Amino acid sequence: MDFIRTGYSPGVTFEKVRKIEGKENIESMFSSYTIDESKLKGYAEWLFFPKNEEEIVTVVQEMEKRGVPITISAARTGIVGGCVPFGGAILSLEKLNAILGLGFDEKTKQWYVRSQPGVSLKELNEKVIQKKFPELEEKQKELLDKFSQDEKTYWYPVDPTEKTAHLGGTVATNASGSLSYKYGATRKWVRKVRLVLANGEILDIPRGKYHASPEGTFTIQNTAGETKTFSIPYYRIGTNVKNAAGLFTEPSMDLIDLFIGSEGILGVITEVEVWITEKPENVIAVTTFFPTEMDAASFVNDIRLKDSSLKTEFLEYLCPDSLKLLRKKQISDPPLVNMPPIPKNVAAIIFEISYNEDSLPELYERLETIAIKNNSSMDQTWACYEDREIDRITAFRHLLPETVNAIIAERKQKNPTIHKLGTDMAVPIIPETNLAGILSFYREKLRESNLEHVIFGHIGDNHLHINILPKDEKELAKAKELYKVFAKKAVSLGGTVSAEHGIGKIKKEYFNIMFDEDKRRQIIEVKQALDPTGLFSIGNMVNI
Amino acid sequence: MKIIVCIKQVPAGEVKINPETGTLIREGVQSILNPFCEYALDEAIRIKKEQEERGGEEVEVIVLTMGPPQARSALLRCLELGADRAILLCDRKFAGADTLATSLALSEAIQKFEEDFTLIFTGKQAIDGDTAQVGPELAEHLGIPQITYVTSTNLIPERRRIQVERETENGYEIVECKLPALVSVSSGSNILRIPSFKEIINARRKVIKNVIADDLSKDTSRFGLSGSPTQVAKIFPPKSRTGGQKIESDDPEAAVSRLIEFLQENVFVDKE
Repeated sequence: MDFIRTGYSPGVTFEKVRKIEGKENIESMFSSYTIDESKLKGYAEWLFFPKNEEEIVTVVQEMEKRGVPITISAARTGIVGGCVPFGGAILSLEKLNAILGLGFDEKTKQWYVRSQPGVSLKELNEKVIQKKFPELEEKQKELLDKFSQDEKTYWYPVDPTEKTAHLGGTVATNASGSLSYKYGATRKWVRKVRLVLANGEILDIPRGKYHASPEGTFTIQNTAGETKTFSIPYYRIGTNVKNAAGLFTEPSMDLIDLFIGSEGILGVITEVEVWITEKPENVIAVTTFFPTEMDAASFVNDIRLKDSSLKTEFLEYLCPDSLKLLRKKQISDPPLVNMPPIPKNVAAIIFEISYNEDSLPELYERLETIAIKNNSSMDQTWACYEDREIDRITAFRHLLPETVNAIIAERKQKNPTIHKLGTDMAVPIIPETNLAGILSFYREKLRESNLEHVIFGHIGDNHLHINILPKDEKELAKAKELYKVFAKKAVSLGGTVSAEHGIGKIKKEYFNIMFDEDKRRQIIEVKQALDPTGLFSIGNMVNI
Repeated sequence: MKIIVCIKQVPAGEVKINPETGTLIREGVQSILNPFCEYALDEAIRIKKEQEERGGEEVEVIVLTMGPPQARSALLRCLELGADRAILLCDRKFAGADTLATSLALSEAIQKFEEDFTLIFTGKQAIDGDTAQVGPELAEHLGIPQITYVTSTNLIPERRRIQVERETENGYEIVECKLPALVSVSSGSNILRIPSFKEIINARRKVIKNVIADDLSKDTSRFGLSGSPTQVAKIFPPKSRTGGQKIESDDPEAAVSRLIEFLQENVFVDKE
């Protein structure tokens, strides 16, 4: 069905909504609401803390009337300035922080959770893993009992590293992370979204109900009976590439997917339902070392493409320069690194795979064969399966970007204008030659540029982060040029300029490499159909 | 040469106690190898490797524990970290043992199965019970010398002696004693080793021998609860240390004067 009706919400009186007025008041006491993890700093004249959907409706209607744009704000853990306002109002959804219900889909035999957008991934997962929902005990006792009696452990398998991120924010950005290699990004887990549109009306979209017409249109009817038909974008993004750039589209797409990853430009999410799934009982995290980068790349291809029964949770990469940096840190501060001595002149792949005791030897043999073929061995690995050890490996992986940030912070003291440049491109995993191809390309260009750098990240998705560490303005300028060269290369291979960070306000220059004027126009047309006055999250993704 | 390492499985993280029964809450708590036991094992493995390198006598490291079936996983961890084989004393008749009954069972297992040992290592104490009694009692049962709170060892196989450095209230002592002996280890590397995948697989091919009470003695009443004279009056988790007070300031002079103020207020130093 390509026809959907919006619902009515009476709203409340504007005075009832908790708000902070005035740029100075916001700056003096609530300045953290005008910045995110990208450190892009904005400003706003209004800051709202609605407690429920009715209050959101009121704010939307009032700001629409006054011609004040609204920037939607969740936990502000993003790194592209998506929630950073440049004037207007901030709509913080942090008070909508209740888990509303647990559900069991009899058709698919799957559990799901209904939640307000301001619940953090950490809280959601703690409750799901421990099966403890005190807030639901009265109204859903029977179902909670059924859930507790289910022997399996469940979780919500989206981990964008920042566990303080709010569920609503992760839906709006289609957040992903290392686990997306196996479980996919947020999109796959969203069962339902409920939104407030710019006209103050409600759109309730369960997955599977509303699909674009064969002509690629949707028709929305408001409560006054007026209808509006709009076209979904007709550009195509490769299906085998992890992507967070642009609005999602595909032939006869599900309407829900238009809103997931839309960076807040189409509406305000007030409620979501997400599937939860079985958490593997035992996982082993193995750090494997390779004499060359190409051996590591070939190992990754063998694991993900040659043996379909080897389903790793993730495959992460640390280049020789990354390990060199960490080794230096290990010498100066061994407890911080908290690892056995890091070998010299090697690249590393860290992967996690679920196992059971009985099949472990067989799993080992298959992995060993692949490792030996790629000039590595299981002798020189770090293998962790106890929780506390897996935490060590996770901390070790995260230590690299932290170390890079610390180096940049130190350099900033001398040159305040410089900053780190972190890429977020991904290329399709097929053809198989893409990984080695893009790695060699990065290598060659980085060597020519002579810029200090590390390459690391989600190699399982051909999604490697290059962090360039400029020493001065001149190097920063050179790095920015190189960034564009990399972006063009990724796009030429059918890849993306942003696999997980999104576009927000600070990656538009690269977005434009991937999305030419015509493609951007297709996005703008959707935006104008749903938000004709340009109310929501102006400046994200496209310029209106 | 046989080196026996006695180990214990303990709950990871903070110990919680059921206020009604006065027993440890183990439900939902992961179990780990007691850190002091890991130091003890590391010391044994170090000696084994040292002997290998210098072409000395071959060393076999045997890990031993008494505990419920799940204690097997702590033994497995030791095998992954380089121990050669393991023994698990596991029987309902061992349950409820105090330190005396525990050390008795361990000593009888050693006498029965590994009588020709050269050295026994234990951790200085387990981080759950904190008694530090099982090691010394084990040495007494076996009638061998013991050196406690050891921080480093030097085996002198040709003289059948061991030289160690041990902690005391005031510093360190160097002590030497004849073998066989028991050494309780109190410190080790704060960076725990991580086994390789190969070591993890190899460990699963090593032997963990199961021993029941009847294997050790006809009179099993000396084991477990019935062999335990200790009555626990009260059990409580130690208060965790607070972080203390931190004086932070960009201005060193201001920080120092605040420190002086604090010391004067608490009469650590005289005013003026």
